[in-house]
Amino acid sequence: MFLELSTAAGALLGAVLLSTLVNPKALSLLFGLTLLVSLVPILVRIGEEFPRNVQNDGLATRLRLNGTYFDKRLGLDVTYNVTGIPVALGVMFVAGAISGLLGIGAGVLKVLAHEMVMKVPTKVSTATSNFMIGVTAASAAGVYIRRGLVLPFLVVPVAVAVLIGAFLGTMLMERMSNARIRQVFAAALAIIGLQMILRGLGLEI
Amino acid sequence: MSDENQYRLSVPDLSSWILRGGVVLSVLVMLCGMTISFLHNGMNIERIERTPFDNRLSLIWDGVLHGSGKAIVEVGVYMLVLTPILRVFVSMILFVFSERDWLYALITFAVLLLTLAGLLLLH
Repeated sequence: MFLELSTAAGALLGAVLLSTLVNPKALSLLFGLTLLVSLVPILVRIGEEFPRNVQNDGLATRLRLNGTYFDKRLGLDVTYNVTGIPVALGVMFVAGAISGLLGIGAGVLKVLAHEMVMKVPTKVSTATSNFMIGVTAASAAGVYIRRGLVLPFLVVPVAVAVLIGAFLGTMLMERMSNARIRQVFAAALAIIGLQMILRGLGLEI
Repeated sequence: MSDENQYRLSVPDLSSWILRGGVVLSVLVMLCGMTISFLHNGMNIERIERTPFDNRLSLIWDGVLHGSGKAIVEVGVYMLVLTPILRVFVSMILFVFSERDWLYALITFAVLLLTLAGLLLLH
């Protein structure tokens, strides 16, 4: 919830201000490059099941961000700590701004912040990001609806497909290992990164 | 304390039910609207690409009263956008009255203000 503060502010800024000031193509290019570069640290730790030696930082302790989740696959409770909150706040703001502008990016950048900066287990990071995306999207979507930029009949098939995919994905995620989820994430990162670079260069696929 | 905890709604549990319920409900409403529109006018790519969103709530309301499929789809879209905002609102209420966690109540309130600003104020 605390991080949502930052990401919602970013989404508003992205949808309202940046969309008139910044060239979306240049931003796509930048975003794609960022994703491909961040693939490197993910690949280095790709087989790792849990982050090691994580200490809570001051803010994480005050906000009680550390916690425990039940890992269905391992059949046991996993306790985790959280670190790097100030940096994560900055990344969340950027994530919000980019998603408000490009309609994509919130989830990917949030998972990256959770994984790389805050060092929480992969399942916690994907689940939390899913929880937060709604807030980011709603902040920006309101602006777009009022500008008449949303196509109502296009929303329906997209929403239905996303809903089915999300339910299936969640069921799969509970049964998969953290290491396997990270492999899937790395693949998604590579694909989205390439696609964004192509879009930035004006080659839409 | 354990007695009290058993009957207390936790913020994450309730949030997850609101999100799931809201998303499923809004998609069902959208599908109804799409079906009605399809039965009346047929559907093709051009229509999907050319039909704009009514940006005034009164227009949408009039459409719903006249049984317009497009207006019903738009109601569904609004429900979808409002779902996470409702979730933030309910979390805030729970933080105040059930958990008595003032720090998180304040943070949630700020998030709520930002999301509502996107919906109501800014163009």
